[in-house]
Amino acid sequence: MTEEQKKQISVLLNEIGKALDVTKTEYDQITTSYKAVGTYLAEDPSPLKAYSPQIRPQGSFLFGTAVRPVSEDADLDIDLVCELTRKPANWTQWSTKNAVGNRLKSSAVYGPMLDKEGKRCWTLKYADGKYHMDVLPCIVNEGYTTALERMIASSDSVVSDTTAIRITDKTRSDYMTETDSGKWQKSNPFALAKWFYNIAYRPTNLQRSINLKEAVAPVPKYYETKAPLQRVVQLMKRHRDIMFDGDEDDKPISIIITTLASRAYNDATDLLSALHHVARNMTFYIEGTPGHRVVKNPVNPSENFADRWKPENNKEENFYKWVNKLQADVDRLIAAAGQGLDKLQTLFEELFGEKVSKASFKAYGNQILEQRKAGKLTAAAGAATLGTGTGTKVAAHTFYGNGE
Amino acid sequence: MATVSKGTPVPIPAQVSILAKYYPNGTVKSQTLRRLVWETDIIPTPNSATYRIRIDYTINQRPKVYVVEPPVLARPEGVEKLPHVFDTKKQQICLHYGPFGEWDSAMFLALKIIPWASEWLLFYELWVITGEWLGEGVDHVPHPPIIKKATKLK
Repeated sequence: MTEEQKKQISVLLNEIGKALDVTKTEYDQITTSYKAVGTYLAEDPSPLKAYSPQIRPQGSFLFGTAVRPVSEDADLDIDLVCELTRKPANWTQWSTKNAVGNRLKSSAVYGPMLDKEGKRCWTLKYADGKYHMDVLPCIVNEGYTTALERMIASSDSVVSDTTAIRITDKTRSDYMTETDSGKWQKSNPFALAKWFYNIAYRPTNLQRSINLKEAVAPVPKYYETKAPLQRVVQLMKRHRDIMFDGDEDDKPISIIITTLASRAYNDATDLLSALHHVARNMTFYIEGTPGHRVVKNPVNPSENFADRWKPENNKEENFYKWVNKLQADVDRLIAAAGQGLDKLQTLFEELFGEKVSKASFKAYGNQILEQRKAGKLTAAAGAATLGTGTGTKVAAHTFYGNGE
Repeated sequence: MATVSKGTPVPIPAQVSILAKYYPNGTVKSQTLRRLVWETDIIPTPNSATYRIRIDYTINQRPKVYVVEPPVLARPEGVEKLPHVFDTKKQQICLHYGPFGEWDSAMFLALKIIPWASEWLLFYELWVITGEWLGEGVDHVPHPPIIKKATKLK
């Protein structure tokens, strides 16, 4: 494979990533929706008002690694935290969860949208918008927002409990009894986001950068261009979604994929090299032995993201099956270099889906046309291969039609 | 299509030497004082297939450009005709629009026609994949659109 071939495949993979993105319109709709939920929870006569509820995205929406579902009919999935500052001393996890749930239920708008109660979340289904929101009620420390801002601004990677949130879990034995939120399950979604962005934007030759503060704000800035690692994670997630075809219970979870990909990332800025390296190396960051695997939360090593891998289910086996297929499929992509764009397209379609694959080639064609119009397109000596390097400038011209 | 000649035509031997300089793998199939038939292989993008094109050029006439390899270009299912060609069967492709004066015999084939042919092949490949011609252009109509407009105005 030549450098030029690798570069072209990476450009096409990046376009697939763009086609997997939430559009700006969807993004605006989603952020407007959850801001409205936040306002409803915080405004009079909400009993939660005293606890200054604040809604923020977490997970893939925050990481910039969300992917649209394979099926047009399926919902986009948005993970949100609903932070309450302080709580009455006698509130248990159950009281906290239901304080949020009851406020939502009492709404003529949100009540009917509520889905079955989750282990930790309340789920709101937006029927016309084709998305649903998992709202995670939690308790944060006094001064949480300041602590968050300080963490985001600081250059060190020390993880402090000041930015931790305490979450409820109805499967825990102390769900109805424990009133000390310091003893509830801990999570640190923004420290994890910072950890991820620090790795994604580590390559020093990345031309553009992001503002971490804007990226993890309650309404994060919409970025059209993304770091190679963000695109690699999107491609891996889509590859998984195609392979597990709607099998939601058995497919490897996104946080494990994202964590291992970040750990394995080698700062390659072309997507094919990055994807190849990550696929080859990601399993080296899984600890433990078969049946007792551990994927540590990078900002809370006591949390095992693979805690649901159990000998009695096939989650571990499915994860390894998927990585093996991913490795083989990336090798097929490399082998398809120079075999014709149609061969690449067939493979893209198989691995990532027809719609995004075609969208990628269409976007590529538009890029070429723009380059020619801007006088930047050249044909190299030898085989007249088009590009933007040395060669004969492709002069302005007009393809004529079909005269038969 | 009437052919424009804005300046002194480039002599055939000069065309051949510039073609050879840029595309040393190309071959002269036939050459006279006023006519040149020349073939070369083109790989339009780094991952594209290899195509062979033939240019049949007579001074002061529009260069005829054919795709000779593969002998039958693939097309999307259910589609018979190639886009932007003079003749699907002969695979004679249309690279420029006469009335716009994009080509004349004072120009070098190597600097205009070959890059355009490569670009045609790229948009052809994308057409097979997406079903859309992404390279823009004007459609063939019995009367070219500009003339048609003028007729209407009468």
